[in-house]
Amino acid sequence: MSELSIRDRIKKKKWVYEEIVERVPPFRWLPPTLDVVAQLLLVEAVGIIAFIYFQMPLEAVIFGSLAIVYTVVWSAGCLNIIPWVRRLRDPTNEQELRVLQAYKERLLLSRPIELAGGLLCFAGVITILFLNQDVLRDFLGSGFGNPLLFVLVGVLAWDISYRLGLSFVTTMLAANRSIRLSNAANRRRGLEYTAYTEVQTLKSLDLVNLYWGASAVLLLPIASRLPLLFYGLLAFLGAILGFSVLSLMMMETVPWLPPDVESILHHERFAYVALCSKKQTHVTPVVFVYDGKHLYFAISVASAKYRILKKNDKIAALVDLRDRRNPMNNRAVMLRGKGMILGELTPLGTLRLFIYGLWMLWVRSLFWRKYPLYMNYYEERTHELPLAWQNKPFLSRLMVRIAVEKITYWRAAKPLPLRV
Amino acid sequence: MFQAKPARTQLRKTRSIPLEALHVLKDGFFAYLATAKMDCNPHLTAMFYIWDEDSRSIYMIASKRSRKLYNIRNNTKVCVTIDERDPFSPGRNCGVMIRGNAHLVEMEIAPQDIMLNFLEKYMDFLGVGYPLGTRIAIRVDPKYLSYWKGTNFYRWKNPDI
Repeated sequence: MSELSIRDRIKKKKWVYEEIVERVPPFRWLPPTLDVVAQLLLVEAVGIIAFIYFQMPLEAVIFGSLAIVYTVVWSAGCLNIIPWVRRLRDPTNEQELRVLQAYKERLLLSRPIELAGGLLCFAGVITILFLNQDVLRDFLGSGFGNPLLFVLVGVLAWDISYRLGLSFVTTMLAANRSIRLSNAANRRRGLEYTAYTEVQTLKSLDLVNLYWGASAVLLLPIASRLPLLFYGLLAFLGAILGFSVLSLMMMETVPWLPPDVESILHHERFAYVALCSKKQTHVTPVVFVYDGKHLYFAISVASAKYRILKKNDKIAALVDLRDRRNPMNNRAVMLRGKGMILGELTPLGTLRLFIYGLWMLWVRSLFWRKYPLYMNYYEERTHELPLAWQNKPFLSRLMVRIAVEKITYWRAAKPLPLRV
Repeated sequence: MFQAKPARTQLRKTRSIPLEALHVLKDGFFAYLATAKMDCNPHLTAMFYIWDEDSRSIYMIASKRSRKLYNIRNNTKVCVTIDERDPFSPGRNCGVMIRGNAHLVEMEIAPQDIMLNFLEKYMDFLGVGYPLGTRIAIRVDPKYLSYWKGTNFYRWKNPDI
């Protein structure tokens, strides 16, 4: 099958739940956010009617509502994130492309994979309920034995099983994808990479897997009456948590930028930072470190950079590899984005210090590793230096973190824009 | 009370550009040109340049289709930094930052002697077949100049602009 047709099929093919929402009234008439609310109201209304009609115990309506809330919470995650996965752009690295293509095909195109977990789970739940009819009798009260009520319980059990099964399958697929993607990413060459917004989307999907897993906690009170179901659910929660964390950790090892760009950012010693205020640009050389995701440099509160950044956080940083003898060896990378000042003694600065404080210490240690002579100079000559140069973290010296929005890479004076 | 107070750098009001700054301008090899459209989103590139003593301006050559040209056509205020880096001690770093207006000069009317000096300076890089025809010269007249060497800073303001 051709590449194009697979891409088209990935865009068009929907999960069973999405198909229902898209085709069945009243969901098809509503936007996705209201679909979830409509689902909650409709199913809850059916549950309450059944509760009144069959004179079920109060426990049934509470547990039933918990089950319905679980399905709705799950659905909200599904309708929000899965369309993003369909729109993932292709990596420029062939191996990573193959990994992501296989992942998307399994996740979005294969109906057996989508339904396998749910069917297994459904079969297990029905078997356990069949073997523990007393519990079901207590739960359903006088309505036990009514075929209509059995159908309702069956539908709810399927709804839950489908979601539990699919959560398990998506988590397993995500862990497998992350491990393979990490391996492929570490074998990149030149300008091959997966744009980091795509990496972020995949990480968001891992977080949704965790959210789906965590929302199954709502089912614990229901399962508590049946030990097998309870321990099964605990094992499910453990597996989701473990594999999601594994997946997220592996995604952390995927470099954000291509090796050629990373090499310049890691090894070159000076960057030029351009800022702009009142339409007038301002350029200065700085020493910097790159932590694998962001560029950091230090500024003083007495500097023009600080004054300008406070007014306009748009920033461009250029790091270049100069070779005066071989023009073909000249390379440069320009990162454009927004600068965030860290270490200020202001309410916002304190909040950022709380969030990024430990990371700032790590970044500071990166400065020590990259510029030992510079840092020693600052340490040893503190008294000779102007106040703005004194190397006091969080006081007169601040840190700026650049969140990259656009990347341009030059090789031998030819610019090449790279996706972020 | 803990933070350093912003200090004004020393301003020199001399007619000519201070000698130390002139040395950097003459000896430098790369200039870093920052441009921005009216939205104040900066763009930065490394450029070859030549300092012209007579007109007291910097000349650079760029492709007519480049982003910097597009930005300059929208906003002529630019900044050019030329510096000498010392990887061992920040005390020995020195450089010049120029803020001023950029003027675009078609190659046909650009001063020939300056263009020849430019080509001579970067002969090893540009080679014989450098396509001047598709390019345009950028002249930057300094309005403000900041000079630094180690911890010493001063600013110079062009009295003629």
